Amino acid sequence: MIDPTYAIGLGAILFTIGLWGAFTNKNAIIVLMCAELILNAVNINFIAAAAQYGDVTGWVYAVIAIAIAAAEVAIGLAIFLSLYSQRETINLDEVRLLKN
Amino acid sequence: MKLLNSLAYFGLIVMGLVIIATVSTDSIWEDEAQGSPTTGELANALLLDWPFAFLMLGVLLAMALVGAAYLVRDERKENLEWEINGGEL
Repeated sequence: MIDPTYAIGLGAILFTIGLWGAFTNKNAIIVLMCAELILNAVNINFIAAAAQYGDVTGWVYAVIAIAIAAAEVAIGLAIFLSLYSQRETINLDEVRLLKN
Repeated sequence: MKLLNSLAYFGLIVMGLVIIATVSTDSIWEDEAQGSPTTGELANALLLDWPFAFLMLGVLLAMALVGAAYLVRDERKENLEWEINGGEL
């Protein structure tokens, strides 16, 4: 079995990459993908902790996080699609108002 | 502005290194790993220990799907006419 320390190291690296991407990109799709990277980093930490303790609770938290991520992506992509059909851009710098 | 960007990049890299160092050196990882649970245990935990959370996840996903479908609905005139006429233009 892989040492859980390596797994949490990978989680920390993924979290940093996701944070960096979410902070520095203007494309909404890329920001959404980086948010997914952050959530997956958290999932890796949950799984590593579950393996360390031999406890299934970490897996349950990971399943919950995956379902929430799926819902987030569904709504996020729908919002971006609606945004693109109205303004023909998904550049986050050009989306400042919460109205049509 | 470039200086600010460079500082932000540098700060993020430092933060990543700090996160790695902090979580890797925590005392909980010193003990021997006890091994992953089995998928049967996961199923038991989801259905017996966390049934309400599992149910709420289903509701959340259903709400997300309905909301996404509502957001991407197409309100062009020809589509509305197609729906009203029962699939015929």
